[in-house]
Amino acid sequence: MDDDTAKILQAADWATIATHLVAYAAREVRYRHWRTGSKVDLPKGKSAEDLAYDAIAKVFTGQRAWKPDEQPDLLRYLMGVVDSDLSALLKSGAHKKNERFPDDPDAECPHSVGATAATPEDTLLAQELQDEVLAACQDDDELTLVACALLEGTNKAADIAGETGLPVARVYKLKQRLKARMTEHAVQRQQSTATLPSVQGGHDGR
Amino acid sequence: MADEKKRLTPPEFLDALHRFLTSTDGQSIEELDEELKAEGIDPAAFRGRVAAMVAAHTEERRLSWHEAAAAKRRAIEDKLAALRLALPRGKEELLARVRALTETMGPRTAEAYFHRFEEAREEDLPGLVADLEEVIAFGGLDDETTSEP
Repeated sequence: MDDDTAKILQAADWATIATHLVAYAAREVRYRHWRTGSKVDLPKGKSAEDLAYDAIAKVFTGQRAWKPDEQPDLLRYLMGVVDSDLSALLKSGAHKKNERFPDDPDAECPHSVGATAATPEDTLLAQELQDEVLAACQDDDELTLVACALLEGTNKAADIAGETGLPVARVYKLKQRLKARMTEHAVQRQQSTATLPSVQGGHDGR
Repeated sequence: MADEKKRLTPPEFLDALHRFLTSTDGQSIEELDEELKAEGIDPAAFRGRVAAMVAAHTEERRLSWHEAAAAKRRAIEDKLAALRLALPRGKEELLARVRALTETMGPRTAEAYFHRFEEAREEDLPGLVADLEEVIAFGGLDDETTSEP
C-alpha cells in the first residue's frame, strides 16, 4: 500500500464507516436469509460483524487493494468487499443444503438477486416472493405506498419520500417495519414448508 | 397518464426491494445504532474493535518507517566512521589527500577548496578533510553546483 493511501485510511472517519458497514452487512445477511429461506446462521460461524470487520482488515493488510483514485468512496468499496465475501461464504455446500431454494442461480451474488433471474422457475419464485412482500404490506397504508413506489422502480428512501409525500425519516421507520413483517412472513413460510417435505424434495430432485 | 411508470417484473421488484432494504444512505449513526442493538449487535463495541485495529495498523506502519530510517542512519554512520579512520595525519599528507579528492571536482571548485585548505590552521585541517570526504562520499560537487546563481 502506498503512503498516500495509508494516510487516507488512517484519517478516515472510522466510527461512521464502521457503523454503516456493519449495519449494511447485517441487512445483507438478513435479506439473504429471507430471500433463500435459509434457517441457519452463516457458515463457519461467521456473523455480520465478522464480515464487516474482515472487510476493513483486508483493506489495511492489502489483501484487498483499495485505490482511492478509482473508487474514492471507501464505504462503498468496503460494502463491495462484504458482498463478495458473503457470496463466497454462501457458496459453501453445507449452507446451501439448508436453503429452501438451493438451486437459485443468484446465490453467487446477492446484489444480482432477481434482476438476472432467467428461468421460468426463477420468475415464478420471484413472483412468489413479491406476493409475500405485498401481502406483508397490504393492511398498512404507508407500507402499501412504499411497496407501490418499489413496484415502479423507486428504491432510494429520499426518492420514495418524494413520490409518496412521506417524510424521509418516516420512510426509514417503514423500512424497519417492512423488514419485521417480511421476517414474520418468512417464518410462516418456513413453518408451512416444514410441514410439506415433498416440496423441498421437489427442489432437490431438479 | 403520459408519465405513468412501468411496473417492474417480479425479479426487478426483488432487486429494487433489496437495494431499498440494504442501503444505509442518509441514516444517522443513532438510527443505525438502534437497529443494530435490536439485531443483537453492540455498535459501540464494534466501533471500538475497528478503532483498535486502525490504531494497530497505524503503529505498525510507523514502526516500520522508523526501523527503515534507523537502518539508513546506521549505514551512513558506519560509512562516516570508516572515512574518519582512514584520514591521514600530517599537514603534507592531508594536503595530498585534499589534492586527490579535488581531482573528482570541477577545476574552479577544486581550486576554491584547495585554497581554503592551504589557508587553514593546521589543527583545523583534519576536520576540513573529513567534511570534504563526506561531501565526496555523498555525491560530490562540481563547478555547476557550487557556482553562484
